[in-house]
Amino acid sequence: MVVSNDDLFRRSTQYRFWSFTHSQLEELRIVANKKGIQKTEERINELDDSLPEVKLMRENQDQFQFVHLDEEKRLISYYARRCKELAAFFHLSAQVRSTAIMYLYKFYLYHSVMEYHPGNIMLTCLFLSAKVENHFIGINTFCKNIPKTTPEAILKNEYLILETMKFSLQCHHPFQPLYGFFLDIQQTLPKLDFNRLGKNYDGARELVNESLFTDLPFLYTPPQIALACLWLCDDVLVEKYLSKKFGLVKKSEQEDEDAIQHYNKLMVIIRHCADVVRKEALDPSQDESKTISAKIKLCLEPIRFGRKLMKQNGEQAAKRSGSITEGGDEKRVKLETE
Amino acid sequence: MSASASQFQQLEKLGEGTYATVFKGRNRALGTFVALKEINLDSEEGTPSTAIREISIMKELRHENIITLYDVIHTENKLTLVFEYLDKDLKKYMDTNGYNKSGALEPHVVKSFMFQLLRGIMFCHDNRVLHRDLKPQNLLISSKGELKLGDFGLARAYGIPVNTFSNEVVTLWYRAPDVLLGSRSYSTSIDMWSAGCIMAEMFTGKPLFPGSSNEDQLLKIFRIMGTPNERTWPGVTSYPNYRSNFNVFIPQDLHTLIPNMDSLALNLLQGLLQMRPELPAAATI
Repeated sequence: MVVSNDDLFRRSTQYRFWSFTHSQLEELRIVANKKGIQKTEERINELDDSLPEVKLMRENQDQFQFVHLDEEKRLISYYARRCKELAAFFHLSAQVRSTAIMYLYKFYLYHSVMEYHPGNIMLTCLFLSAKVENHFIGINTFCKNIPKTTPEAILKNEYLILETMKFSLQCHHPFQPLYGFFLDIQQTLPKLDFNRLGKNYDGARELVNESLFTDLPFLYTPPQIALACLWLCDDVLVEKYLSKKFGLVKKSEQEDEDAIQHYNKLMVIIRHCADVVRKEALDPSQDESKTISAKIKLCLEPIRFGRKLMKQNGEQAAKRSGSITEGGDEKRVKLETE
Repeated sequence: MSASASQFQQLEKLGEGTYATVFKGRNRALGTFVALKEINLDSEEGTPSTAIREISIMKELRHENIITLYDVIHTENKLTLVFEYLDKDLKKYMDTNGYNKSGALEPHVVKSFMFQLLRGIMFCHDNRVLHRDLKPQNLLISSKGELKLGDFGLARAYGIPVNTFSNEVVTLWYRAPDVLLGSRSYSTSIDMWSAGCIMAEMFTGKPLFPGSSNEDQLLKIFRIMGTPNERTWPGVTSYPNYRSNFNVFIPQDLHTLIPNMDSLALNLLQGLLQMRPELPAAATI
């Protein structure tokens, strides 16, 4: 009874629960975003109508800004990048780091940033991933090194994340297959310059790290992504290697049609993945994250929107009566960037 | 996961696991039995990492020779893992079904159980999981004679190479010699050794190496397998627990110890009971 690696992957929860088509993935995010808007609307409706700021808010409700689908994606990626930095700070392995980042992206396939701020969820994802991957960090050590958080705040979300992950916690990343290819290439192409391979292997590892900030892990298998990253560093090498693997080297002999088709199919996938890694790895700026976070703050506590309107009205009134002070202006600027 | 605690009626206690208590339970709606593994959540560190690892591993391992994890239920202060329930473990099965009350099983039963045990182990190893605690108490037997691996509380997912695991694993009697000698980088061979010990025990009804301490365990193994030296096991003298004054025993013939084995069974047992960690047969069928 021989079990192929393909069979093994198809049995994994990563394949069964976390592999999607492009449209399935979009659909999940649209639903999550809608849920976030709905929850925010519920919070708005629950506000006490007798308060003047609520009254004002109801009058101007069309001005209330929800977080857009695209903004959700960008903010999550912003925190995925911070997760990578934090993992480096704790000297965590590529496996722990990548698993944490995947938990973060997976979490927001089912929830909206308008319900849970990714800044908090990211911390719990990293703490949990360290547990899953056998690099346990005590909660106190973990917290001590992160400003503005508490053990309670991190543990509060742990079960929610476990549940959202459907308790399927094992993640397969492209690092291991990449290493496998690194070894197999040396066997398959024994005359290859080792320095060239070594350099490109390092480059490909960097690109694998980048691939985490795209949708590729949900759409393609780890070996496909690994090959694409290596191809970006050395297309000649990868194509030579794959041609030999598929038995397409001796041009004179009759070539196997199936093998050619298989090879071409794989090359299409590789080129597409490579394109995504190069163009779609998100890296939003801190300013952008602040703008989106400010929106989230209002979604989570919509009463703040009413208060903001009151302030603005008050200031406008003050301006009209000509008594505006410089201090007042400063305060307003501060409010808007909060 | 939709299950709630009220779905199950808690029945008698089945045992204390490595970090949890296991109860028999009845699904109120279906009337079927389950095993409920209850884990206290009073830890300051959130969900215990042992529980997280077991859940994570069991979610990946779906195989007919491995106990199925049906569900995870969360209540305020405990986490309950809902497992498939089987009537007996191999230890109890041997006590009740052994011939002449000796605990020994008929060769055809041993053959069937070994086949299923090795299939389960192979599936774990294919999925890069080491069980690390195989013993008759962790092998569950159904009334139909199915054998399933249970209690993955100590299991680990491994890459290659596997190292720096704690050496405080595997019940002493089924523990591989390199682990007893203090090896901290071990692999699939530790499960194969345990399988060999279990096989011999099924044939005789008695544990093969019932040691009482780490040192005694090694001596019990050497008494039968022979005391290793640099010639029979290159590198053995560099293990942390190796002593140059170990009593010197010569290897004994396993066939005289377990006469009711046929030559195929003997062959398998010899393949499994290899002292050098790089030698044991792989669980391949």
